[in-house]
Amino acid sequence: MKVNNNIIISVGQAGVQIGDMFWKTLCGEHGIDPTDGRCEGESKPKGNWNGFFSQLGEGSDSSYIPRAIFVDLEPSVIDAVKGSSPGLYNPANYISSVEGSSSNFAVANQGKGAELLDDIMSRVDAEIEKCDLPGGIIMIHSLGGGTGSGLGCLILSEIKARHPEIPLLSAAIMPSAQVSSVVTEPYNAVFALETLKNSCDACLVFDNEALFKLTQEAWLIDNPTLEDLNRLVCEVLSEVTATMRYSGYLTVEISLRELLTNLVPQPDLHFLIVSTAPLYPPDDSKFAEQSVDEMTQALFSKDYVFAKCNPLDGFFLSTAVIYRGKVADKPKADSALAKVREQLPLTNWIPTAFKIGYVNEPSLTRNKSMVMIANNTSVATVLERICEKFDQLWTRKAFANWYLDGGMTEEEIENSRNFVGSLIEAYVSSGESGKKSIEASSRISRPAPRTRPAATPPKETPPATEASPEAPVEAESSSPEPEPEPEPEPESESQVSEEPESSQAEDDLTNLPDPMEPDHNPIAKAMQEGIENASDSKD
Amino acid sequence: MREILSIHVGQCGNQIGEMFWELILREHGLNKSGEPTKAINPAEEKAMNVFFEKVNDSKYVPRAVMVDLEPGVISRIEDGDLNELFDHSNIIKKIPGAANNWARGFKVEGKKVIDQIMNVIDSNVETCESLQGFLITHSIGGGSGSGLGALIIEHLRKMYPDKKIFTFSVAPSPLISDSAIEPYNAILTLNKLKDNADAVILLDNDTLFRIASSKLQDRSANYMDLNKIISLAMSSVTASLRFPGTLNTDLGELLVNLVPFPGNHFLAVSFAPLLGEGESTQKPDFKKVVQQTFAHETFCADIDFENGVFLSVCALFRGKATAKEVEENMVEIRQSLAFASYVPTGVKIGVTSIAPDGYQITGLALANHTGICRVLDRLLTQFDIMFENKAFTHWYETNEVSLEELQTARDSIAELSESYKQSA
Repeated sequence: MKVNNNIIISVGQAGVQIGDMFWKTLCGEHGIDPTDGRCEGESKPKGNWNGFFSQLGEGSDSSYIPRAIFVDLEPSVIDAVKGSSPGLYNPANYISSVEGSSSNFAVANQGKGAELLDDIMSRVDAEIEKCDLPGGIIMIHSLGGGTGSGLGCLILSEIKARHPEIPLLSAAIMPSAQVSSVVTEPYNAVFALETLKNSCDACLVFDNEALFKLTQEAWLIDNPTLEDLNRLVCEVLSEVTATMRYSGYLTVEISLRELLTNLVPQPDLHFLIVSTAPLYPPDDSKFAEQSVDEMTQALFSKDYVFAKCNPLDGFFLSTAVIYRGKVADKPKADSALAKVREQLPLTNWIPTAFKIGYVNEPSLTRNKSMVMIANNTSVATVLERICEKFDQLWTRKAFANWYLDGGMTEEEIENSRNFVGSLIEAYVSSGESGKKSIEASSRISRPAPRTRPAATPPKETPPATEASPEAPVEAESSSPEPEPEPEPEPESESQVSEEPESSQAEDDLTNLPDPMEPDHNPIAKAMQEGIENASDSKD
Repeated sequence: MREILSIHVGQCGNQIGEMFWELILREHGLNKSGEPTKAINPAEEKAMNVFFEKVNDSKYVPRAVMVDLEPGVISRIEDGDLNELFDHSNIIKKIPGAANNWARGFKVEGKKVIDQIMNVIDSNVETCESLQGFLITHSIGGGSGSGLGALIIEHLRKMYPDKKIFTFSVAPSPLISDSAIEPYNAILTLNKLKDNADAVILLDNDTLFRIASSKLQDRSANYMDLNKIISLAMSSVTASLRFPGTLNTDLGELLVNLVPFPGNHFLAVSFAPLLGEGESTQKPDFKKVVQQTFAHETFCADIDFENGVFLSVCALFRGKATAKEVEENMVEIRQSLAFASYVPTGVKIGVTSIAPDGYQITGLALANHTGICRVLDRLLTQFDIMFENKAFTHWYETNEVSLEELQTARDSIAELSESYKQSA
């Protein structure tokens, strides 16, 4: 069956490793030999293999080539991939140089990386050319290192400029202090986020800290290796792409375009969290099963989300759920979801239901499974954490010289930071506007500071925002009279209610506030709003 | 008799189409390949010609065109029991889908395929001696049925200005939903239906879901249950066109009776009695059937009975009912219905002697009721909430549908809703 074709570009060490593992998972699922891309006997691969593989040759001679491109600035990881599966990938689609990016966004984005761009784009164009229907481009990369962030972003913006009509998805591994090998991670991530916001149609947010915790707690691995974390990401990517590779009961496919249409309510609000259930240790998962109800409950709990945030503290803007397994379970899954939906914090400005996908073919490791892809405002907490770390470094200009030497200007750096700030703000206010509508329409108000605790920064905030951590404490002790704030309340109020969407973010760009000023700091500002809401609800 | 060409568009439209044809095959004594299982007399044959084309003196082929931008449902039909039935040159399945987006169905993907679709339609029209019109089934919430469906209807209106266009249009509901942007798709489609269709039978997933669930014991309703109700209603609406010797033998005649003002052509339909799961036979009780047919809860759209009035209504009964029985029972009903002050309280009545498979006697009301505005208002409210916050609008703007176009469609439907309220 003809379906939309998807291309995967893996960039940087993590990207290439996850990409390779992901393709081998797909080979396993579709019955393709991962060493030479052949299919046993005369048979064709299972499912809509065409979605991710192209065919080379005819009949029993044919082999199936992943629509994959591997890019790195240093050769060792790609060489390892080449060695482990010599006949699977198109050799022309390995692109590497020798010097590495020194974990520096600037080097990968403007220096060494830029030199490779023409080669990379000619491969991207060649792969697009091979597609009957280019249905999506997915980039797998981590944002902490230099190559995945710097070069990855360079490629993303170039693809968007050349092929704006093809849906572009980034699967991005966010850095976390606990699982860090690079001091400059916050810089790299913040710079990358700017491109992810501008050039991608959506971004799946993974977070090393959450991955680490999931492998320990769900997979019961005491000392997870990077390989374990990568395998976890593969597991969920295989679920996310399942509807693009297998037909459901009534649909041949749910294309990436269709998924994104349902998940992205505004162009900027496209940072998606994912979760999957059940999560049993890989060796057991074939035997241990969860009921559909349990899986559905689990999907929405913070313990199953692949980023460190609690979706129940935020608002669900839009949600897609894909169920894999026996067809008889579909009605059960539908009603379990309907039940769960009633308990979820949903925004009020998107009154419609979930996108539900269904795939009959189980994954390799689990007989039945579910994946949730959600646009949830709590993703802002992940971004906030990165910004805090960034601010700590940037207030002292620590390590900044590497970037300045790499060709970036101070202004560019501050712009990037503000960009991410305005993104966080957009998420916060999109949740707020949902809450406002709820309060306005029904008067059955939820506890007002519902989203705020999640956004409360940990104790070690940069010196410039020192004023803010005290604020929520006062708010929680909830003095009935509103605190006199440095910024007049009505003004910030109207800003939020009138312009919940991105246009505000763009305004901010032309009117750059100093990120260190608490008045303009989105976190501090958000907290002021929290206070207002708290006092509003008391009135 | 004058032919009708059915066009099934999109996932929902084709599923309904499949069920509809399966149902009427049985009614006409045809097997799944369209071959007669019993002798067909000349009068019957003449009536069957409306929906079927007889080929090689042995086989009846549905006058049906099936279109989808996503091949899933049509492929299932092709692989299923009805594989032999349809003319395969009438099946147009395309990829890559409309991604739930009206703009892709109407503009981006639609314009790539509309010429081919119109060619197929044209060649079907040529096999007809004197086509009376088109019957279209689609949902207005998805992408293909709504967007591509609207595009086809717009072209039909242009190419065949004197033919009637009847649609069975399924309105979305958050209760049983496939996509987040259904309200936009629905309003955009309704706007096109308002301008281009002659009559729109508006079915409402919200209500269908409730009706279907009330007949089920231990599970919630799914699309199949909903489609079954729709196909039963379709078979009854078209029964008088398909069987000899009854009233309303022309779409035009139905329209004259049902549409008092141009534009106010959104109709609600009821079907009674509905058998529950497991019930296979029905005890004939004509009085009860008549009452149920006109009961509020039987209508397949959430119409506002309290504040609205009937502008017109057709009652179509099927089965063994004498004219006397019908007359006696309808007198009471007529008096109980609230009509607009300026329309005479006439109810157009039709009787077809052949009941649907498994039934003894059934009733169907086709109503032009001002309370239909409640369905429109519900969609408008959802539309407004999202539109005010510009939720999902960029998907339309990047696919050639501007904000103004959305706004215009919205205003046009708001006006329609208002006009219904005024006529009450």
